[in-house]
Amino acid sequence: MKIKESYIRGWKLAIRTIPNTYLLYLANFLLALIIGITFATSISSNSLLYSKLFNKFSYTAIFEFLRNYETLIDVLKSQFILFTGLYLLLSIFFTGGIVDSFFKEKFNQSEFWINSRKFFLRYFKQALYILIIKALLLILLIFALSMVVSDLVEKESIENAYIFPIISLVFLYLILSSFIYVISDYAKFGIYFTETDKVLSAIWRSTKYVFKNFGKIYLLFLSLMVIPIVLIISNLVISIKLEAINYFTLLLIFLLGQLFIFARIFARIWFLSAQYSLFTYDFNKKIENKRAEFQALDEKAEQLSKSQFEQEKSEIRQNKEEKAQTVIQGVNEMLKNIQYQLEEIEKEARPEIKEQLIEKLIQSSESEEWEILEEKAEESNKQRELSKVMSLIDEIKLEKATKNEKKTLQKPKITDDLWEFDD
Amino acid sequence: MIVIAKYSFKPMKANIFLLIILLFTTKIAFSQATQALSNRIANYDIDVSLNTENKTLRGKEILTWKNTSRDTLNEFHFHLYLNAFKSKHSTFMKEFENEVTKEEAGYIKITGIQLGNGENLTKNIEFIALDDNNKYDETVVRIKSKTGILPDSTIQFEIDFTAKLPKLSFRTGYVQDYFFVAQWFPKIGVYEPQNYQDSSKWTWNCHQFHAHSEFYADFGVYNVKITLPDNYIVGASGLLWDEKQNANQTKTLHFKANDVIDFAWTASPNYLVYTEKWKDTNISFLYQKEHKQQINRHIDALKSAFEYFETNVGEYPYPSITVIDPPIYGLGAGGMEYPMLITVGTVKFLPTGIKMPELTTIHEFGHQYFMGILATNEFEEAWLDEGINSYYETRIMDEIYGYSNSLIDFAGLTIGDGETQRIDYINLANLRISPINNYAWNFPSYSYGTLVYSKAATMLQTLEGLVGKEVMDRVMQTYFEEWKFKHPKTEDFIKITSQIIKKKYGNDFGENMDWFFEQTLYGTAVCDYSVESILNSEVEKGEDIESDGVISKVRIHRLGDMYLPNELLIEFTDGSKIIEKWDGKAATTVFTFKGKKIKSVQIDPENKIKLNINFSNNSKTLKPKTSSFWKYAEKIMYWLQNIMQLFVF
Repeated sequence: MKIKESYIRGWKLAIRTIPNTYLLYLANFLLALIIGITFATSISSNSLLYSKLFNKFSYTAIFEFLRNYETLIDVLKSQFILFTGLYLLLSIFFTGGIVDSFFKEKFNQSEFWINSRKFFLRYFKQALYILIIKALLLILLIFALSMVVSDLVEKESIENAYIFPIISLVFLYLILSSFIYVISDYAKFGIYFTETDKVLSAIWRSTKYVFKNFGKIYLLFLSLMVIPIVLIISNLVISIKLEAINYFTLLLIFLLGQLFIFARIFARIWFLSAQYSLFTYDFNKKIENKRAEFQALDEKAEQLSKSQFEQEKSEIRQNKEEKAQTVIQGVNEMLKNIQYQLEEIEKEARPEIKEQLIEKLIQSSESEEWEILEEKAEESNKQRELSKVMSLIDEIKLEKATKNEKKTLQKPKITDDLWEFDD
Repeated sequence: MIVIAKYSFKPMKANIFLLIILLFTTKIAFSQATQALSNRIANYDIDVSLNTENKTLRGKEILTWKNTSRDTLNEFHFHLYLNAFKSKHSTFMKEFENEVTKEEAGYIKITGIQLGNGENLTKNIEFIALDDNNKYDETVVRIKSKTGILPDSTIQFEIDFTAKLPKLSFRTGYVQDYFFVAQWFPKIGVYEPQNYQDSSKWTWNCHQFHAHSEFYADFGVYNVKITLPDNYIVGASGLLWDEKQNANQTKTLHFKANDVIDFAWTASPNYLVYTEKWKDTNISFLYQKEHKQQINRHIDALKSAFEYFETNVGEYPYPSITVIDPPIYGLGAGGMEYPMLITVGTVKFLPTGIKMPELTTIHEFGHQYFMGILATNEFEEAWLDEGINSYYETRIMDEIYGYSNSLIDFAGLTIGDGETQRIDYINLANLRISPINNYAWNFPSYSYGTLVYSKAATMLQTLEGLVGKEVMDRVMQTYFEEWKFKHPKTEDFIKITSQIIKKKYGNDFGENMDWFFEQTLYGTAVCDYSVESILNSEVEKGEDIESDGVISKVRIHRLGDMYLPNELLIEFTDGSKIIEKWDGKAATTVFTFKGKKIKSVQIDPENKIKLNINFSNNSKTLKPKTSSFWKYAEKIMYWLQNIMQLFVF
């Protein structure tokens, strides 16, 4: 259920934060466009050989081209390496903004850039660590493959006997790579919520988290993998059938290609947002519960201040005025005093002074004078009035407490329990 | 019949009776055809046993050798090829820059040698290394005799030898229970005239085993009896003549091969056998279980090669051919040729669009002609073997599978075999690194393959482009008929080429074709023509032109130092086209036309001159199209975007 909800919620979140996809696509497109234009405009050939290439592939023509434009190819190669690195850096930079937009559930440009900048160094460190881990895994695979193959050469006589261990190793490598991929993504969320600088620790916590909740996390991963696979297969089928024979078909191929790239980038955002949804599934529930609790408290406080209090105050005035005059006077004075204080609080615009006044009111309610008043009220049967005053004070206390609680909702400061799911 | 050493294996179960009949009928056919096709100078009777545990051979060899010279000989040179694998200091290993561990090493030792007259020569064995004076190389021995041999007489050597097979990495050896036994027995060198021009002085031609040299030997009859465990299936040069079951769970197989220059064999308990016929020739395919799906790929390619060679070169003279498909761990022995036996190589799941099995089959079969029947000296003139054979390989591959996709036609990528030969050559960092015709061990830094295979094939493609396929076929047919079962030299090939071309074209190509081969075979000249400029000028009536109009000019440059007759295709703006021919000698040639504006020109429009190192400067147009570049810009962009996205964080 959680997986399905995360999948759908991820989709909605990716749509709601579509500027993330636009931004990544734009970066991807512009960088590639520079190389594409560099290529197409750097060639000025009057040779008929290359015009053959438009209609069909020619190994000879391609080879001659590569040979005759060696310098251009070298420049393009350098550009390609540079731009790939640049795109990686950009994607690292955007991560803070993207995750933040998931939390806010909407894309806000200024907040995007603020959070991108804020988290860049942390995510950069994370990317470095992940890169090192991936490189180590690859070295391990090569080593294991060479060991297995050299061992098989000595023992096995049937080619099939080679295929299974080699495929198994490669499969294992892919599984481990997918683990790293998933761990890296969840570590991003951890870093965002905890705002920790300890990136390695975040990766480690993410690792524990992933393995603790392996079933649902990996099932979601696999279900998400369907998207790029479907995209790649459909693109392959289309590209095999479609050959550029004129400028129109060339334009069509270009547009289809760009559509595919856009879909790939959107799929990546969807991937991330769906995982984010799973990650925050229980956490969001807690937030929702808190919200409901606070709302109930708000309503209760409202009720107290408007109906109950007014009603009881009028009863006192009408029915028991004489009997309790002395005490009432005292109590009324107290009430006036409190009322005055409340008005003062109400008038006060400066939050810090307001805070101080509230604090003073609460302090006075806890002073010795109140204890004496309580005794007198008991003697003169004025507990009801007193309790009214006490309710008023409680109301203020509650209001203060509610405000404090609400503050924490702005962005939850997450501790260790973030990494726990309520199974 | 052939190679069916064990009849009980699965694919053949139902056909035992058929096989026996086949074996019987083949024997009859073989005995009927025993008239000598060659001079049968070196004839071997070898009795060898394979110890599959120790990977050793123990053999007794009786060599009957004919002295065809006018010399009385007291000195004989023998190849001991297996000693190339003895240590990293051998010439073979040094040239390959390869290390050899003690376990991987292989060697051969003559334990006794005596003449038929009883003279014991064992103590007269002396290692020599005439090619490079490498004192650690033991691949050639000189054996001196007091009695010797008179001219035009025959001598018999009785040789006892033991050998340890190397761990298979190059051509010969073992891996697990797979054995490929090639260049394995003491083999006498060729006693021949010292040089082509002067046949008065004869000498031994017996080179050390080099990294890039394999064969040069006299023809003869080989009777080889192989004893090995009875669960092994054997493939060998020649025909299986007899099979005997021994008491100790071994069997002895008797193979016979007539008029061949070498004998190789292979054994493994894992082979499966598929048999087929092409006309009267028996085909045996010893394959791996996991390659069953690829039987037809090999057989179809082999039959195409048979058809092509018989139609365009000459008749296949042997009664059988055995094709060996090595296991994956034995691919070091793949892609090799021996008389009546070739090795190919494939892997499971190889897509049909990647035609490596077909290419290997066709190439190695071609060696039955170029090396096997036309027994050239691969040590000294490797191009006559590998070069001509590569030329035929490309012809057959391109004709069967298509010029632009004969090698690869997979996932949108198409590569023609003929294209790869030219591209391999023009991709050389130094195109003048060595002439094609060089001793195999003298080619500098890894240029052997490119020059001997690729450039030589490209050279012959160019010759074909100049004189036409029909004339080229006539050249090769004549060369084959005149020199089959002999040792032709480069000069013989050139002589025949010149004769045939002159017969067809008179002096159109000169008195002879020496000018062509001097540039392409003996020299390092480079061929490159370019269209320098096209000029269309509006002119007024004058000396050059009767009325106002247009004079158009094309300037052609010869950038390389090679000259070849050439053609120029000119297309005018009115759509008309003409072809101009010129001898290609001048450094600059200008063609002038009146009354028409030139749209484009193309040197060698059909790309006949494959040796031309740059096709792109062969043409020029005044109305260039940039559509191709935009197409590839789109492709580059698209793939770049995909790769970038692969690296996204």
